[in-house]
Amino acid sequence: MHKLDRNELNGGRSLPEYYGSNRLTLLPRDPYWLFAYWEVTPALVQSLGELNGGLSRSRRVLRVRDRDRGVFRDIEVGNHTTGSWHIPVETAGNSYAAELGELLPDGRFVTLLVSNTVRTPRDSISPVIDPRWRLFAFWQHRHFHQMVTGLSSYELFMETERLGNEGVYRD
Amino acid sequence: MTKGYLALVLHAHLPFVKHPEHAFSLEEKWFFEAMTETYLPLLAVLERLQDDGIDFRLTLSVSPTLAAMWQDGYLREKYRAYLEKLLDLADREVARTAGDPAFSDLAQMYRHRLRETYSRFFHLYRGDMAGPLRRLAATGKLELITCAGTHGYLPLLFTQPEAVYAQVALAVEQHARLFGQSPKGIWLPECAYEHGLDSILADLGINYFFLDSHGVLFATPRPAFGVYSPLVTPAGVAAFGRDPESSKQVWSKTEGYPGDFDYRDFYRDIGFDLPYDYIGPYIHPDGIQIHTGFKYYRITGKTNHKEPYHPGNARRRLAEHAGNFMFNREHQIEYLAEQTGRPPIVVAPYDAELFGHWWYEGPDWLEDLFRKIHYDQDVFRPATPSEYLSLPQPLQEAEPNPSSWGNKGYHEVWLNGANDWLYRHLHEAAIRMARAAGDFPAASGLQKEALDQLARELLLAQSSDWPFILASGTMAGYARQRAEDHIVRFMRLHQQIYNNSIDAVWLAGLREKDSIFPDLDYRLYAPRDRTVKVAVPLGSSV
Repeated sequence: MHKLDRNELNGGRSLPEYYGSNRLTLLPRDPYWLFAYWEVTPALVQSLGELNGGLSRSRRVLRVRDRDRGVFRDIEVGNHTTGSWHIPVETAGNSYAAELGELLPDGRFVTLLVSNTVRTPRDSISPVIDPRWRLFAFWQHRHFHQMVTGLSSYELFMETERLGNEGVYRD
Repeated sequence: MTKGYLALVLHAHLPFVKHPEHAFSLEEKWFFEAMTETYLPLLAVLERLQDDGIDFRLTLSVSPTLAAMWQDGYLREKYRAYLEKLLDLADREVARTAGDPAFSDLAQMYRHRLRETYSRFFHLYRGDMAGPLRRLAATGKLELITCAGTHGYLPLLFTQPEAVYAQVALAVEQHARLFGQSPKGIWLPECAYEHGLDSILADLGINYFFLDSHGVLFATPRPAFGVYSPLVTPAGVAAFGRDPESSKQVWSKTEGYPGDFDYRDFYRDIGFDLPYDYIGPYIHPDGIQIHTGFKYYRITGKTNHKEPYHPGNARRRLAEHAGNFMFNREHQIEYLAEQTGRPPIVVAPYDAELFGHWWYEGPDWLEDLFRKIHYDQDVFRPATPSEYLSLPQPLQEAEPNPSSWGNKGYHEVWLNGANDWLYRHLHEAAIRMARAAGDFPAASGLQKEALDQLARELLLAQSSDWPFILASGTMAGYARQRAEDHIVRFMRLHQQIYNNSIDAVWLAGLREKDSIFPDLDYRLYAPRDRTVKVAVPLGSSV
């Protein structure tokens, strides 16, 4: 075997299954999807379980919080040490965070891990217009559709109407 | 009168691939083919334009992994052997096709081009790609910009900002060393942007970057000039948006120029067409049929029926296409200037490897286009982004929208069921790297070598190429291995560093194999202090 062969350099090892860390990470994938992955050590589960009178009848839940609206949704996930989930969300350009925890039969939620906060990308033209650059707004109404893939003239017209009704273009 | 500007941008990138353990590597061949078919022909085009006094402007991003391969002596010699073998095949092809009117001229053309390529690289440039690029950049007609260190997909690494900082800082440092000045701009890998990235770019002296159209169009507040003027981000960096119209004319499989029936067909190749007895020595040693670069047919039509390639017809067609591209830009720019009352910039970015490798006539098309723009019109001028930014006109401030130029426009290509497993490892390694840089702030000797190599393994694991290839399916096995290799080596080395049990022989092997960025210093990952400390030495009078 060549001394630089991959098996030689990798020392026969493969990817670690666990890192012994307690972490929940959230990644924004697109305006309507997030991805979460986590690792939670048995020691952490045990110590939090003891504090809360045992977790034998609880369910492992990923609680996804809409930070801008203050609402959340629970997704039941298996109680393995590591896990991951692709999460559909409702709003583009919105902030989300998640917690991994145990939902007890009495409705209490025991948080194991807290994620970072992410913001989904926008999927449309911003309704916000900088007044210093208003002069050109008329031009955009007519020609944005050429540049925005998938937005027909009609849809663009409707979008403009809607924004007009909201007073964004008020003179 | 100049009514606007066209910025042609080429992004040259290949992942770092080096396999001294194999006499033949399919993946190293990506690099050799791109050298022969894209990078060297493009340099030849730019030098001809320069010699002929054509006032062209091209922005070229050279990814640090590609630049590292250019600088690697082992790969250079392996490329020499590769070209010598092709020259040998060229002689045999000239002999084989002699007397065959359809193919004889083509075989001679290939031989001529290969000889030219060999002589250009090994004699004229003495095996150094940076030299001729530096000379062209000094004229101001070529603007060289950088890309992230190992083409990491920055939005998905941003959970550890220090890892993103290191990707960009390393790129800026390597660029300055290789090309003699700090890069003014950056090509963000896959045009991928996330809120806050601009601060890191600003900290490192980068003036501008590029986004796909919707990265600019969906910015907040709404961009007054669409993609036809850059935005200034909150951190003060300019963001240029891709013009969909000019992109489509070149990129599109169905409507794009490269699909013209007179152009050379990519798929028909003697590596597949000729019997093993003949072609055996020039294909994969295991007998697997592969492309040799000797391709004698034109695209012809949408079926498998192919007719011989006629370079003269292709030449006429590319002149038409260059004229058409220019004509469309003239009208587009005239119209935009009239509508907005100021000079627009049309940004047309492409992967460099499209030119020559995929679209054989691409470099000649580019040459024709620049000549036509120079002589045949005065509506617009080719410009670099830096030139456009120096025009005396205000630019709108806005926050770009997170996006990429990948399929569906966001991060899904690099984050889906085929590659999502990768990120837990990349993030864990990035956390450990930053911690190690803090734990060993002044390592020296073997320990420093180990920490430097630790950083190399992390960087190599972070290449966006691995998740991209994993998602696309072809060569997925190689991408999986590469990602795994670097993570496994990282973790093993990390353990040895902390246990103070560094295996010097094994480390030497790693340094030889994963040899990217020989000057890298792991302290790149050390915690950055954003506050300015003013230390007054004891006993000094202020």
